[in-house]
Amino acid sequence: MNARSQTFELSVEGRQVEEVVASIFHTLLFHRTFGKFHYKQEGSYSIGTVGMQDVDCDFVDTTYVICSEELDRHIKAEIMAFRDALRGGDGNGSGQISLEFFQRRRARWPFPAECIPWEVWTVKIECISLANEHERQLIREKVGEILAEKVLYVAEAMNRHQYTPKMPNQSEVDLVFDTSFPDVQPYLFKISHHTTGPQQTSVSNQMRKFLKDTLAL
Amino acid sequence: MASTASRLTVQDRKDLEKFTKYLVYKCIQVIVQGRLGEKMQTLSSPFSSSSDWFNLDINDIPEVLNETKKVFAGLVGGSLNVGQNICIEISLHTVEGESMILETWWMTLTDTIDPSARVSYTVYNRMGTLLKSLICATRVVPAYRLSRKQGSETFVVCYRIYTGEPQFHLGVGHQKTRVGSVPTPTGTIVLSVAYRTKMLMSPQTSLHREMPFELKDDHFMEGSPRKKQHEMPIPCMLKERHRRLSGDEGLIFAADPPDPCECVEHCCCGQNSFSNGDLANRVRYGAFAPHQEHPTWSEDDSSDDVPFMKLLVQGDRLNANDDQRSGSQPMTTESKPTAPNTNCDTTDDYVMIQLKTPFAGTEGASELNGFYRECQGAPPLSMLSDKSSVQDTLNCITQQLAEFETHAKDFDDFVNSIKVAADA
Repeated sequence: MNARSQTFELSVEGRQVEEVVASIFHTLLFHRTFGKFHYKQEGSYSIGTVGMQDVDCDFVDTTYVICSEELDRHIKAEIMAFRDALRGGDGNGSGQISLEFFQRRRARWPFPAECIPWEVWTVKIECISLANEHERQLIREKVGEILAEKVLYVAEAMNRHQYTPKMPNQSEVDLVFDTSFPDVQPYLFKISHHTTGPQQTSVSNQMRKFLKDTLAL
Repeated sequence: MASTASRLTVQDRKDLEKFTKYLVYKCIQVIVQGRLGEKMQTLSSPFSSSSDWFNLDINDIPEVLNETKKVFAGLVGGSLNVGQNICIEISLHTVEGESMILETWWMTLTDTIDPSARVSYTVYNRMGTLLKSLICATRVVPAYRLSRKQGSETFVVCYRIYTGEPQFHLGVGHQKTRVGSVPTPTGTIVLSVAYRTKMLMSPQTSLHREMPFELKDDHFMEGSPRKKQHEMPIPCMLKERHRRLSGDEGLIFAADPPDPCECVEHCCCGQNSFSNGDLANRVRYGAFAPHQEHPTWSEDDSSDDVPFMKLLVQGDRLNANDDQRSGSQPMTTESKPTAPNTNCDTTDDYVMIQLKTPFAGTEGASELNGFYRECQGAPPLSMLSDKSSVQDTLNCITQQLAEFETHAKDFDDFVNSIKVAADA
């Protein structure tokens, strides 16, 4: 099965990187997060409630929604690592960060569970430097408008109701959802970044990953 | 479609109707609450309560819910049928009586069906996804930023719920986009939005002849005069006006199914459509702003023709304030239509509008504001305490001139006598 893949490309000022990526990733995760599952008996479960919190950006004219501070802390750590790599002179001022949703499939003993991505969102960032405050104000508004477009695009994509993993029974919940958060339960996801050149997509990387994982034994 | 629908069990059909109804309720809550002007914060909880529809913590504002129910009850069969629309209009109203519609959200049911969707699981989850999309979308369209800056001293944001065709009085260049859709076995619920992109009020569209100004999107501008205190959302102005005039203080919301003529009147009419008393009695509360009476200028025709007439009106009102403080009889609305305003703090009366000064630095507007404030803060002149109108004053000056004309000879004689004295 091929994972769906979407890429956004943005040119932003260095200090905007964190908020730009956070606003896109949180919008995605908000759609891809459920309340905590509580299994009563096999095949029957209740779901907790997802809350929401508005976050105003400091360097972009926009507001985004997060559903869990715990989840926010988790993804912020990843985004900050990307930002530091991007601004720290490691890269050439451009890079990309991906949010990949995957499910695990149990393999035969002694192989570890296989990770199969089903949706990948990539944000390509080009850092630009600005000469004065006027330009800064312009880009602050412009990036806000671009992010609005992206958020509406995400909403449209989420409402196509394409493939998402089947709701698991109790024994398989960890193969589909990340159950490590106390208040919410997002689909399994991982964030990876790259700042030196184009990154190969996870889809085309599957065979190599599989071999690597096998050898890692 | 009939055959698919007939395959649904009675329970499925009932559930679907119920889910659809609650989806509409929650969508309207999300839209209205997204325009309250304050940040939303609800916590995720591992356990849900029975009121948490679609596994989302969206609190209901009872008044908005009642209003929604009323509109929903007006639908044929009490549910959303194919081809029907439920619309939510968000509009901006300045304290000076100008208004413009910012956005129109509408939900409709199309005849595209998804026969395979299970009502109790798939449809329910899709509805949750649509709500999440709506929550995100309400934050990124331009009206959100404006609503965060509203206050009873500048402008307020109002809502109106109606059924029927959505109306798009949103100016040139407005955008339309589909927020999301929920395919169900009986049709697809589609939620869309049309929003204004040009936030410019011009004399052609305003009720008053005012200098056009741009409501600039300085997102979360610090130190603005607004108060971001959430009180209670209010419905659209015309209805509010009717309520005020009918004296029904207990009813806060009144948005019946729409009357298109009324809407046209609301958007396009000039001030002549209102009687003076009508306007004077029209006290609007901030949609999403503090429930505090704000001033309305007395709608005197002369105010449009005479520059700074409003400052004179202000002077009148200051006097009225003094009268009240000194313990005189409370004024009645019959004798003085502007009486409700006299309780306001004078500093609240001034309307802070950010003027765009095209060829000046940013200090230009603040200087002008400062000048106006000084004019406003000046002690009332005793000559302003008499109630003579400008017309009277002008007549008086004309009389005086005429009088001087008739005595011109006396003056000439006097001047000649001085000259003679000097020559001598």
